[in-house]
Amino acid sequence: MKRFTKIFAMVLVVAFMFSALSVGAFAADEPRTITIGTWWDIYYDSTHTALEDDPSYTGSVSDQMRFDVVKAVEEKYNVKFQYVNLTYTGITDSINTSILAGTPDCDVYLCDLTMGIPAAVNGLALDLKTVLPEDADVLSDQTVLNYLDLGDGKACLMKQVLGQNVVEATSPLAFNKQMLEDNNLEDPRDLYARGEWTWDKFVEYCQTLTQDTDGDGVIDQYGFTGFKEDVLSNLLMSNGASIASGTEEGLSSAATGEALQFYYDLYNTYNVCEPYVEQDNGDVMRFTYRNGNIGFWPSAAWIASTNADYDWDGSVGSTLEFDTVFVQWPVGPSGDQETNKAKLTAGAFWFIPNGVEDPELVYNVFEALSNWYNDDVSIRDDVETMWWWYATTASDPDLQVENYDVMFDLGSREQFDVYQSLEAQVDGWDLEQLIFGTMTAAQYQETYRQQFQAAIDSYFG
Amino acid sequence: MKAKRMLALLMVALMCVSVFGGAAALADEAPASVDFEDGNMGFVSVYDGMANADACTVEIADFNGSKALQITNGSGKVPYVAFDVAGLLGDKAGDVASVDVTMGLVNPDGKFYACSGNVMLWVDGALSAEKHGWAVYLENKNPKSTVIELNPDKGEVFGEAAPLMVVTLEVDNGATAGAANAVLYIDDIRFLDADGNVIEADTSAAFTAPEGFGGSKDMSNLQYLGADAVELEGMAGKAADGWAQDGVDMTEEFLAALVPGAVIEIEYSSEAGDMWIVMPDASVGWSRVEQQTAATNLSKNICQITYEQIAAVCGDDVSAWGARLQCEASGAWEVYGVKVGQPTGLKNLAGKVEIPEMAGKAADAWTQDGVELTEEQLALLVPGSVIEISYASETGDMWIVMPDAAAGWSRVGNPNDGQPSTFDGSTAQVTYEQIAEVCGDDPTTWGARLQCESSGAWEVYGVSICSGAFKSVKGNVEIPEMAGKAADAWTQDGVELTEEQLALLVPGSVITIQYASDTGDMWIVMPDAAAGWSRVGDQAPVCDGSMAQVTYEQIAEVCGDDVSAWGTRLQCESSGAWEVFSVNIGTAAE
Repeated sequence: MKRFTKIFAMVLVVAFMFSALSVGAFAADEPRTITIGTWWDIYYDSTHTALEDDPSYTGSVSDQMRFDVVKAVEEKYNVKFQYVNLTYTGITDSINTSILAGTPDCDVYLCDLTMGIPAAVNGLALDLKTVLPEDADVLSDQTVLNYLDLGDGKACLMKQVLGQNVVEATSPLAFNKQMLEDNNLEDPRDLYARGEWTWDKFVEYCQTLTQDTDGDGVIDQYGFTGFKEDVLSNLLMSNGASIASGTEEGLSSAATGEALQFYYDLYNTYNVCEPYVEQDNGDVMRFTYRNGNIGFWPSAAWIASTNADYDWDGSVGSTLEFDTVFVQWPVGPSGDQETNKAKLTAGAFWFIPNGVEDPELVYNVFEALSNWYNDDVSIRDDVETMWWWYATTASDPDLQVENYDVMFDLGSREQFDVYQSLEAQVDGWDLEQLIFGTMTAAQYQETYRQQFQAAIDSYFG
Repeated sequence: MKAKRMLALLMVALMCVSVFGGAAALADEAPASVDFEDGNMGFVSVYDGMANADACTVEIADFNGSKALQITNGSGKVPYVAFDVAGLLGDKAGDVASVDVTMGLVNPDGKFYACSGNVMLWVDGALSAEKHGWAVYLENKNPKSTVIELNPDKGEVFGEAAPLMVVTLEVDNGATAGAANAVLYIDDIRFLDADGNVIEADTSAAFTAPEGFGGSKDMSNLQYLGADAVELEGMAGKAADGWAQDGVDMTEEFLAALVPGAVIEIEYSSEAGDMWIVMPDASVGWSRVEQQTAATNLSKNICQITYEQIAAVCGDDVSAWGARLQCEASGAWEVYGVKVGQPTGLKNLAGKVEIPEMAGKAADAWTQDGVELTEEQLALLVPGSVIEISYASETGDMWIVMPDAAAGWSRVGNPNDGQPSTFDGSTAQVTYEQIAEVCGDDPTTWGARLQCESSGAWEVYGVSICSGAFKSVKGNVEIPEMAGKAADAWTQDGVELTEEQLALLVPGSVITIQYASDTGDMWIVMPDAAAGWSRVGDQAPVCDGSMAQVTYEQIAEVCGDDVSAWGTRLQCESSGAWEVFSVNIGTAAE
């Protein structure tokens, strides 16, 4: 019996060793398999044998390069690798269970901020600064990969540098070109270039544009309109403010107070805004600019394409008689044109979990895969792929490029701020209280700051 | 020495825990509340009340060395499998703090594909919005145990108000990749109390469907298609953002059914509630059809577009429409199925009164059976009324016979005699006007006996006389302030209509009310009409206990033709305590 117990114990020890090394175990001369957990199918990896394995294969140069990089990476690093679609729920479960247990299921995880932030804050995601040399791309040039700065000095959440990743989710300030010209107002882009595009100048423009054009005693043209969520985020960033960009709430900060006050004043002091439709969920106020009686509004490529403003696919013809021009948001009193952020961080990120064997190798493989275009940005962001981003915002080819450049500039300056994700947890939060003047900026800050702190505490775990 | 031995034992124990999965593994050793080894599954039912619900098959089968509940997908949609926890646990149901359930996957092609879904409770007559995700995502962790922690603050307390646990399988990577749908196995369900103790279950319990569970599709405003409607393969699961399109090439079978009179029916969900189709390759150019105007049910999860509507945009020549059919909506959307078929002509009926003696009647082909109607039942046969028959027959058809009509023994609605007929193999409808056509305009000469008949052996499950048909309505605009209004019997409540809402009241418009009331009826009140405080629709309410309609013409009959004299307040009322869920104003489609 004693002997049996000993044997049993030895078997268990051996089993334990195998179990503990389940991710990292590989014989020295056998290629290691790097597993990359995702929640959608990604091509190509070591399991694919033909270009046609990717159902969306079109025969483009980029398809061929994404296929070829697999072999090159395998040979250079003596590895195999595979993308494993765990499903969204599965990837969340895997992060929260296997990494915590010290035996991560995957060597790299795809994540969104909902998963990624807690993983980074709670030590499940590896701080790349602890394992990589300073000259690693993600920590230095960031031509292939960059990382999300959470303000804690760590580099956990990586993002692949792509043109589309930069311009997507940007929300430039748009203006009606002909309306400004008709009112002899200088192009705001020129003011921005000279560092003179400020909140004060913006109000001056809006006041000029707010008019009773038919002389019936009723204002029928407005300087500004916009859906409340689009407006506040941009006013905050243009004033160097944020609400939930770290573990301490920023709602009560002076810079946020200025942004809230400015929002209040646009509607209630300067009276330069189109009357706001109560309880609009974005379906109305995002699109009234199409009536042609609005000077400035928050726009986006998807907003312009929704009603085919400029016939991006040639299906319906241009539906606007004026040109939409994008410009950076004016700079607030606490803002700085050089350092202001201009796009709320969103989208997908990647991280290497703590507990992975040889994380530097894993990083090198992932960086090499991400650089399938071999540093040739013209292939990475080829015209065919990016065409929609140009064509959707304007008819004039020059203006298309200019608008794209503004989006790219905004997208290059990301602000990590998850306040919009937390608003639902803040009872009573409604920006219409500022718009309709039922609450002052100071009241707004005081009413909701504690609830926001509680929501942030919950979010960051 | 003793200490060393103790240390060794401790290490062995720790290793055991590590190797076999820690605390979860220890919990797995505890007996399950339900392990399916006894073969019982009477406490399980498939829920089909959602637009994306799959008609899956549920049975006990061998899996992973023991018995388990096997769920086999039927049509590529989402299986919703409900467990009657209140029945299983009885008085102990309220003690459940968490549920540990084991899920396993098998794909018919022998490969492993990750799947995920949700576990929800059925709370207060509907699926709870609180969802607990589960996933089996790695082959070496299949099957996998998932622990659901209930949230009492969100109503997650099993009992009378929340009797069911519902498991769904929503993401199937195999199906997405073109393989067959995964077969899901559920095993070893442990209902745990707050201390982690397993609560014993009575697996002989029979499933008791709570109110609302047996809900069928909401076909308000829609036409019923025949059972031979053709599904468009590959459309289920297509999804895109608002104003983005996705679709597939139409199959030959689908195109063959897309003929004059045909209706394309789309089951969907969309953030904005709308849905339409796009014909991107039409020879007339990239074409949207019925953009934001397609006939849609009140639940906004099924819409229909007719052949004629497509022809109006793309021309009469189907071969010029292009092969590709896409869906689109103004908000993010997903499609669960697209089919095309001919409408059966069946209507949504109001004011149903059962003829209980007819249930269970059955006979051979071309043989009649029925009952003698009472005076009260005969009085229901008025112009506009409809006899509805729920049935089965070998040949699919069904009609009525009036054997004692003064005009002679008469068949009505018999397609074999070339008479107009409306049936779909399970429901048949015969109108007052069809009977009058055969038996004459005076119902007192029709005789009192009503019989059923078919060209094949048949059985009738129920017969009703209905006061009329609901109108199909297009372009419904909701009056959101009405939702939630409630009052006691013969008490009114409502809202002041805005100018925009009043402008919707034009000839042909219809007010549709979704409601519940103790007595089943519902009508409107115009308290400020110049003609005086007015009830409208109370004399012959067009309602079925959950939906009521009042037309512009009904209001005009009471309040006069001048809408500006109707007043701006609109109220609801019933003869029993009532609650309104939604009020819409739209235009009759006919």
